[in-house]
Amino acid sequence: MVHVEGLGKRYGSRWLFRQVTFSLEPGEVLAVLGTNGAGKSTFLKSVVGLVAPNEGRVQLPEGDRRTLVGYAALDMSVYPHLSVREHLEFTAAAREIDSNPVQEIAAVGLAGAEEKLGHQLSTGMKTRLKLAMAVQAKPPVLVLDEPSAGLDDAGRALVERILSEQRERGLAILATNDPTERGLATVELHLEA
Amino acid sequence: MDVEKLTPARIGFILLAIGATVYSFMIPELKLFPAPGMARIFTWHFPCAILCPSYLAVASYQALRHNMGKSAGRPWAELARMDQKLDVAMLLSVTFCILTMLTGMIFSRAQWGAWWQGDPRQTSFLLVCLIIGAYFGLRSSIADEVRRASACAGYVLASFLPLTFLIFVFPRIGKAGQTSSHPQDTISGAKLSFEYALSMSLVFATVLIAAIFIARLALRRFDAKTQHESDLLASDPTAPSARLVRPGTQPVDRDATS
Amino acid sequence: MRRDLLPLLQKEFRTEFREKAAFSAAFLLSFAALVSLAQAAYNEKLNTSLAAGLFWVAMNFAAVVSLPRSFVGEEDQGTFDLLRLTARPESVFLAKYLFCVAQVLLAAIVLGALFFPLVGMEIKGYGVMLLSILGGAMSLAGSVCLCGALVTKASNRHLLASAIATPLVIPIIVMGVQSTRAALGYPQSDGGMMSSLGIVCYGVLTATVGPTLFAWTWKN
Repeated sequence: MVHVEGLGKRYGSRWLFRQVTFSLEPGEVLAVLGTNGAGKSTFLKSVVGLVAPNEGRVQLPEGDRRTLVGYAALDMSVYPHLSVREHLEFTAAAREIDSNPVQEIAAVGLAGAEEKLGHQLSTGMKTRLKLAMAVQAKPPVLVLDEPSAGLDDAGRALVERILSEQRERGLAILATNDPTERGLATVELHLEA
Repeated sequence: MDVEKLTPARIGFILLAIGATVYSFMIPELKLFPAPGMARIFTWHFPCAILCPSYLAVASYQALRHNMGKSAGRPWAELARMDQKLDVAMLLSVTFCILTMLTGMIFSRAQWGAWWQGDPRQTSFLLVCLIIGAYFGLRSSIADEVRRASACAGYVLASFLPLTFLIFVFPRIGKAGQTSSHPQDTISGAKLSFEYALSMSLVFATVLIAAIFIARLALRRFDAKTQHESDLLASDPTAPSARLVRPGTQPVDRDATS
Repeated sequence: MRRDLLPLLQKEFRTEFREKAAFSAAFLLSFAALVSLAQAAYNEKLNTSLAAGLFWVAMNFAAVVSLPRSFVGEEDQGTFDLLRLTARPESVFLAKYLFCVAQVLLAAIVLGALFFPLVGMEIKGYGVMLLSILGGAMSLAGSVCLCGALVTKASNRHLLASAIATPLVIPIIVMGVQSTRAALGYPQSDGGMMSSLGIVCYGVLTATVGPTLFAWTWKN
């Protein structure tokens, strides 16, 4: 379903990662592990197409990238002047899919915060909103960068639930150093700096 | 000096360069100008003015190839070479742009006593120079080579329309076109004397061959650098590695390579 | 029209309605330019060429300073990746482009409505003037917006966007000056209408080619 072949990214003459090759099938969860600076986030961005690799290629299932891949990352932000509901309405309309923002908001535990603007949200609430946007299109490939960072216990349980649901409809790739998240993975990729 | 490097082609080029230079000083003076001898600089000015937009066209072509190659999923190594060709073309273009302006300014100073006439063609080349200068500013501001190549190709294509306007339209519009001190029909009206036409052709050939030589040299150096980096990285014991592990099914998965 | 263009456009205007940054910047920049120009021209009789030139220099100033923000701002606030994963590049460019056109038109209205009366100029050809402002807004928005998109990942992006956009918009300024001075009744005006149509064509071309160019640079 997802095939990564000889993927490599370098900045100047320093390789962040190189010759990464693997295939993932539906139902699998890949945990990308490594120390800070090992290139986990860049690796994920290469997979979803946000960063062009210097070598190798990523083969995703055929289809519209907007609904094929869900992505949430620590360094991704939300619009400070759009409300939680408007975010979900916007991403659904931009992806040209039908959605139910009220239900999606409730599913990530943000009920009651529908009209809060981006800049009024806490870090944990922003993470929940990003998760809601990532899974909105029910993508077959879900890519999450440190999904539990800044989340409370209920938030961590939410991540677990999202990942278990994702295993039923496709596969997930997550970058993490969290032992609990690591425990959810069926495959591990160790990036060594 | 390494005598072995003097191939027949190189000897031929050196002879051509010497011949073209000497001949450009020997052609007759043009009596209609206040400084008749300085009119000879035209034989250097015109080829440079032709080669500047020519190399801009080459850069645009490489930018187009780069972007289309990227869309088609071509490997980075190929795209990097196109980006290098684009960069060399821009470098040659700015060189010829500056040479055109310099020779024009020297001519202007000798004939009319002022370095700058405010002539539409002079102004248009200055603006072309600014656009190419902005390209180098953009190039030096993006650290990641993949993004840099992409942004530079985009800029070169975005500047194609303004450059075409500045080179071909701007000097000809309205009153500005009629008041230009540049003759409009010297070349197209076949008003050049045989000596001037010959000298200009020789200089054109010399400059073009020199430009091709420089471009090839730059590309060869780029290839050598890429190869060197590749060799170094291949034998680098500190290069990063990646291991794929399926928990419970140790040891390391055969898919993972390092 | 693409279905996904509307939500993107809606997002631009909704954000602006709450943030009030882009339009107020365009208004303030054009107003500041206007005050400076009016001060410089106080008690002076400007000719049509000079008035048209000053008008377009002020337009250029307002555009290159305020427009790149549409893309650079996305990168600054960390929402660029969200946009890249949820929207089509062509639609993103068109939405930002239309937003920028509105911004430049606002600047042009402020400048045009106040500057020419202040310096004692009478607009004689309203059709030519309107065409030149519309074409100018389209062309300036397209060129500067694209430059903003190209520099999103550059280190000094705010400065660089203005620096690379300035030489690119000079042809637009040249055509704008030609048509505006014709609209102001320049005696030896040659083809004011042609220049106006030229600048509109330039704008249309920018709007047509811009999305494709942007889509090429979008995937990094």
